[in-house]
Amino acid sequence: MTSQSATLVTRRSAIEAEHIELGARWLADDIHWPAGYGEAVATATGAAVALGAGLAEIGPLDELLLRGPGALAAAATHATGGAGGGATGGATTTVGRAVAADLLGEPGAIWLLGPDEVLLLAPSGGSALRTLASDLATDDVSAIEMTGSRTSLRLAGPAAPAILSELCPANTTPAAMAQGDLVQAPLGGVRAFIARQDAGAQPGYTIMVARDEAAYVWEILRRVGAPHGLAPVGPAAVSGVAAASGGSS
Amino acid sequence: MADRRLSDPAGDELRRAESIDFRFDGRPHTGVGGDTIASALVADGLDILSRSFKYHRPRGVLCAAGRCPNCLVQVNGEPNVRACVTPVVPAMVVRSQNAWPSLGLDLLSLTDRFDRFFPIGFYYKTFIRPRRFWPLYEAVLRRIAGLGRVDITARPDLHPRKRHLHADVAVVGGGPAGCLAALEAAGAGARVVLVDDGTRLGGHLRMRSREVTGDARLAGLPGVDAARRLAALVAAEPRIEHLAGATAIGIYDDGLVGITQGSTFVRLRAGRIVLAAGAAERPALFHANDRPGIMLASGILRLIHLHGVRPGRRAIVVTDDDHGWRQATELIAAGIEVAAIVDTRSVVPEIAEAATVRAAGSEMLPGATVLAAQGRSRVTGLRIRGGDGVERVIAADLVAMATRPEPVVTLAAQAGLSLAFEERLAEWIPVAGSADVVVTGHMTGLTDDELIAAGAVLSGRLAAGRDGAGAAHAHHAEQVAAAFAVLPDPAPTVLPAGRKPFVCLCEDVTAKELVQGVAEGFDSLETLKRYSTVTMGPCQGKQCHGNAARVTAAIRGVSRTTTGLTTYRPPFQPVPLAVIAGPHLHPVRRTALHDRHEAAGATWMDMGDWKRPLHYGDIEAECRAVHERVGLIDVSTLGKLDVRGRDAGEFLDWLHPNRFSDLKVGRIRYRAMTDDAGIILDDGTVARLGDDRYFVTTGTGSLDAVDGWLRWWLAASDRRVDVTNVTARFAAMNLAGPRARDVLAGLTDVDVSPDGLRYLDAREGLVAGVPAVILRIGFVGELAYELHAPADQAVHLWDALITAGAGVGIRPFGVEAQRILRLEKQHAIVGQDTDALSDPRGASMGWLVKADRPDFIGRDALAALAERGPRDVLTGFEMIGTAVPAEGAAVVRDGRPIGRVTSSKWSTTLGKAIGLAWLPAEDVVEDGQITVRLGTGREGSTALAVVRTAPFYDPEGTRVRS
Amino acid sequence: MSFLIDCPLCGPRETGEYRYGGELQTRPLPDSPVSTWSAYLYERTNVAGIERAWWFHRAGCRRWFQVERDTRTNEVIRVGWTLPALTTGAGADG
Repeated sequence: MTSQSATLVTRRSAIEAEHIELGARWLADDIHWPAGYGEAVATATGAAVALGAGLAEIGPLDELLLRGPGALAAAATHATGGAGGGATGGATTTVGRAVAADLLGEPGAIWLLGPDEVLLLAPSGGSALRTLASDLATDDVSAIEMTGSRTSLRLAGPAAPAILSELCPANTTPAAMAQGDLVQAPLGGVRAFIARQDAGAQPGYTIMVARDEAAYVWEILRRVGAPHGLAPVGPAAVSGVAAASGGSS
Repeated sequence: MADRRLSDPAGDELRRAESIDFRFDGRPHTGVGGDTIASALVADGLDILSRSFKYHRPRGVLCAAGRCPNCLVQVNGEPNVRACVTPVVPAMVVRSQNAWPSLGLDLLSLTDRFDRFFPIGFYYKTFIRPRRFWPLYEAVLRRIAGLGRVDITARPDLHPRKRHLHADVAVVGGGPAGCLAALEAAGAGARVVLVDDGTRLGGHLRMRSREVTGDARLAGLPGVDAARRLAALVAAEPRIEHLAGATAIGIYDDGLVGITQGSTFVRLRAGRIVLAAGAAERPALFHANDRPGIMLASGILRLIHLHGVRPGRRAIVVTDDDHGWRQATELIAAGIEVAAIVDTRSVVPEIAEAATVRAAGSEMLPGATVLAAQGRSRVTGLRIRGGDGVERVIAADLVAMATRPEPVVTLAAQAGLSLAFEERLAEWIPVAGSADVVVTGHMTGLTDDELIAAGAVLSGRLAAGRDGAGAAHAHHAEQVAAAFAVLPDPAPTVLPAGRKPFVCLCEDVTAKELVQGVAEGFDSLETLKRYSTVTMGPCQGKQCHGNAARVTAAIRGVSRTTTGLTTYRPPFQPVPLAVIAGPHLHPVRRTALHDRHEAAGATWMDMGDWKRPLHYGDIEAECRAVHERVGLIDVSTLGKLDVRGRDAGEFLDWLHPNRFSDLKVGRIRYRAMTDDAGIILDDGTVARLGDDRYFVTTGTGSLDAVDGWLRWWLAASDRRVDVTNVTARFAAMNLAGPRARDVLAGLTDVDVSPDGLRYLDAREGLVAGVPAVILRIGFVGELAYELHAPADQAVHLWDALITAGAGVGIRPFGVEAQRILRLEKQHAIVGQDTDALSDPRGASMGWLVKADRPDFIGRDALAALAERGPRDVLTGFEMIGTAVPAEGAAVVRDGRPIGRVTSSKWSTTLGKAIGLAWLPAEDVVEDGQITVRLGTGREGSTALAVVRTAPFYDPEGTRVRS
Repeated sequence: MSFLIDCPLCGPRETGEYRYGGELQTRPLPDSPVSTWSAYLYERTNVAGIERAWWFHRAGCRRWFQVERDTRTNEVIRVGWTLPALTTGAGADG
C-alpha cells in the first residue's frame, strides 16, 4: 500500500485543450499553462496588441480567500501601495481595489472584494499563502484555500475596453475604472472579477472567472474580439508591471 | 430614364465610380455606390415600389427617410425592408411584396374597386357567418392583405452585436441643433454619445442650399456646407463618440437609450439626454393623395441631394406654412420646375422666398384647396379649387407636400416629458420636464435658425451640468414662448373631400372611414385608433398620428387638446428580434475532466449549463462494471460549500431538519434541506473535517440557489460563519464497485481498510500525490469512495485511478448508468423525484427529521405535517411486464390519475423495469398492484406494476457497507 | 425592467444582475398558529407604493441587501444592508 507521492503531479489549465490547439508551449512539463504559442500565432502577437488586443491566460496562481469581519484588517498589513486615492505604501482598506502585496517576502496581490472578503494571490511555487493560511486564521478570519478554482486572463490593447463593453453591462471604461479598480460583474452572463490593470501604455484588464466557465469565457472573448483584432498571446505580451502575480502596476 | 440622374447636385452619398448590379422582381438593375434600393430604382425610372396593405393601390417613394410603408420590399428573403434607407449591395435580390401576380398588374387591387365592402372595421361585421367558413375566409384574407412573406427556413447572415455604452450626455439627432448641443456639452467636459440615423451628420442641412445663420461657426454657409462643417467639428472632438446610421428606438428608465445600428444593439446609459429629433412634414389630405409621385418635399430633396436622383420634372408644392415657400425655393435651386404653389392660407407670405418663387414664374395660389390627385400609376396633376372658388386642374408629374413640419415628439413622450398643444403652432410640443432630458431644435417647434442655435448651445451646457445653465435655459424658453405668441392664428382644419383622402397609408385608412368610425361611436382617439387601425402599421404613426388627431378633432368639432394623442411606445423604428437579443451567449460549464470524457468517446448531455457524459457507448457494460468490478464517474458538477466558523455547526442545525453540530470530526451525514413550508429544497452530504469546518455537497443544479439561501439567512444575523462556494475549486469523482478499495489502496497512504475508513467516514490525504478529501458514501449501491481534489490536479488523479484500475477492468460510467444504479437502490433525486409540494415524510425521508429542538427552518411545518401524515408518498414499483413507462406518466385508477411516475428505467442487472412514483399514502403497501400509463398523454395504454417499498438491489445495503 | 439598482457595494447596476428576494417580513416565532405561518409563507402585501424588499446581487458581489422602492414608478428611494424600520405604511420590517 504505497502512495505515488513521489510522482510529480501535473497541473493543468482549465482551457488546456484550447491552448494545445493554438500550439502552446507549457511553462513546464508538469505545469500546463502557456508560456507562449507556436510561431504562426506569435507573429500576430505584436500587431494584435498594438492595434487590436491580446488575450492571454496567466498563472498558475495560488489563491487564499480571507472571509470574516477581520479579513480586511488581516490583509491590510500585507498590502504595499497602489491603494486608491494616491495613498503610498502601508495599509489599505479600500474595497473594490486590486493592489500589489508583499506576502511574507514574496510578491503577490490582494484583491479587496468586500468589507469581509479578500483574495490573496501569489504565483504558484511559493509557500507564503500556505503559511498565511494558518497564520491568519482566527475567530474573526477564515482562510480558505482556493487554488485552482479560478482562471485568470489578461486582456490588453487599444480595443480592450470596447471588447469588454460588448460583454459586460457594468461601466468598465477607463473613464470609470482607474488603475487597480476592481468590479464584480457579469461577463457574457457569468460572474467575473474584472480589475483594470493596463499593460504599459495600453489599456488592459485582468479577468478572473470560475474555472468551469473559463472555456466559455475564452471562446466568447475571442468571438466578440475578432472584429476588433483580438488575438491570443503569451502572458508576457500583455503583462503590466507585476501583472503576472495579479498585482496592479 | 437615364435623365433622372443628376450631375449637380452630385448626390452626397454616392460613390460614382462604383457600379452595383442587383435584381428587382427578376429584372436586372444597376445602381451607383451609395444608392439605396429606392434611389436606384427611381433613377431607373420605376415609380411603383409596392402595393398598399388593404386596397393594393400602387405606391411610390413618399418620405425617402424610412418613415413610411410605401417602399417596403423583400430583400434576399427578408421581408419588410425599407428600400429608401437600405443601400444596394452587389447581387442583391429584391422582390416586391403584397402584389399578385405582379407589382405592375396586381389583380388584388379589385379590393380598391370594391372598397365599399371593406369599410372601417369590416372584419367585425362581415366574414363571420357561417362560422364553419372562417378557416376559408381567414386563408383568403391573409393572402389578400399583408406585407412580406416570412421564410421560416431562411437563415439570414446576421451576426448581431451588443454594446453597453456609458456617457455623461446622450444626444439624439445629428442635425444642427444636436451637433451644436453635443459640441457644447463636450466642450464643457462631458463625455458625449451623439446618435444620428444618417450616414453623415447635418440632418436637414444636407438638403438645404439656403444659407444658415445663428452660429458663428456656420454663419453664411449654405446648408450642405454647414453640414460638412458640423461633421468636421464633431469628428475633431475626442469627447464625442458619433454613432452613424444609428436609430434611437426608445428611451427607458434611468437614462437608458436603446439604439440600433445595423445589426448592433447599443444600450446606452446616459446621465442626461438631449433630444434633437427634429420635425417632419406630414402628408396633405386630398382625394388620392397616395399616388406615386406625390411625395413629401423633404423626400424629393433627399433623393436629389443625397442620391443625385430627380424623381420628376414639374412639381406642384402644397403647403399651409412659410416652410412650403422655403422648400419651393429649394426645389427651384435643385432644378425642378415649380409649376404652382398651393397655400391653404389666404395671403401670400411676405418673406424673401416668396419673391424667389414669383421670379421663377411659379403660379402662386393662396387660399386654395387641393381636391384630388389625377393619374393612376403615377400622378399627372392636381384638381385645385382656387381662393376664388374656381376649380381647375394643374398638370404636374410631382407633388411636393411641404406642410408645416410636426415636431417628432415620440422619444420625448417615452422619456416621460409631457406634451402641450401649442395653439399658435397647432402642434404638440414637449414641455420642459426634468433636467435629465432636454429638448432642442426643430423638435421644440422652432424654425428660426438663430433661436435654434442659441437653444442648442444652452441645451448642451445644461446637459453637461454647467452652473447657471438652468437659468439661461429658462430665459431662452421664455424667448421661444414669445416667438410663438406673435405667430398668426393657424387655419382651422377642414375635412378633406373625396372618397379616398388617405390618413393612414400603412393600413389604408381614409378620412371618410374615420368619419364613419366616429359616427359608430368610437369618438375617443384611443378607441378610434383601435377600431380603424390608424397609426398601427409599420410607420407607427409617423405619417398619420398628427393627421388622425387633426381629422378626429375636426369631425367631432372639439379642440385638439380635448382630442389628445395616443400613447407613444417603443420601438421608434422596426427592429429585428435577433438584434435586440444580441449575440448568442449561452454559458457552458465544463468539468476539469472534460477532455478525458471526450477522448473516451462520451455522448454528451446538458445538465443546466453543465456538459456531462451521458454514457460512453455501452450503458449496460458500465452498470455491469460497477456491480462486478469498479467504475469511475465524474461528479464534479456537485455543488460544494466550505462552511466554517465558530457558529458553523449551529448554522447547519438551523438550516436542516436534522442536526450536524453533533457530527463527529471525520464523519459524514446525509442532508436534506427544507424551507419553512417543510418543502424539500435540496439534498446532499455534510462531512465534518474539523471542529469548525464542514464540507457540504449539494445537488448539481441547486448550488446557486442554496448559496443564495444560506447567504440570505446570514445577511440579517450576527452568526460567525463563513460560507464559501468551492464548487470550482474541487473536481470530484466517485470510484464505485466491489474492487474500489483495491484500486484506491494502491494509490494512497490513508488507511482505507474496512475499519480504517468505514461507511460514512471522511478523511483528507494524498491520493496519487494529489491532496484529496475522501468521502466513503454510496449512491450507486456498491462500495464507493467520493474523491474531491483540486481541479487543476484532477486529471492527474483520474489518470492514476484509471491506470491503477486497468488490471481489474475499471470503466468510466456516465449519468445514465448512474441513474439506473441509484434507481435500483430507490435513491430519490431532488428535483426529479421531488417537486414543490414534496416534504421529507412524503418523500420517504421522515427518519431525517429531528424535531426535538427549539427552532429550525421548517420546524412548525414539519410538526404539522407529522400530525396530519403525508397524503402522498414516494415509493418504488416494478413493472410486471417488460414495458417501461415514461417518466412523468400517471398512475391511474378507474381511468383517473392518482399518482405520478417520477423515475423509470430498465435494469439489465435485475432484468426488469423499475421506478419511483408518488402514490396516495394508503396505496403504498408492499406487493400492492397499481396501474401505470406508459406515455405522458392524458390517454393511452397502461400496464400493471407492483409496489416495492424496499430497494430492488441489495435491500440490506451490505454491499455499500462492505 | 430598465431601471438601475444601487448595490451598496458595487454601485448602480442593471436589474438583470440581481434576483428579487421578496418583501421584508418578520419570521413567526416557533409554535405560532398555522394561520400566522400561512400568511408568512404565502401572503404578500404587493403594495402599489413604497415597498421594502430584499435583493440579491447574483451576478456581482452575491450579497443580500434591502431596497426601498416605489413600485408604481420603480424609483429606488434608498438601499442598504439593512434599512431602518418603517414607522408607517406597508411592508412590515423583517
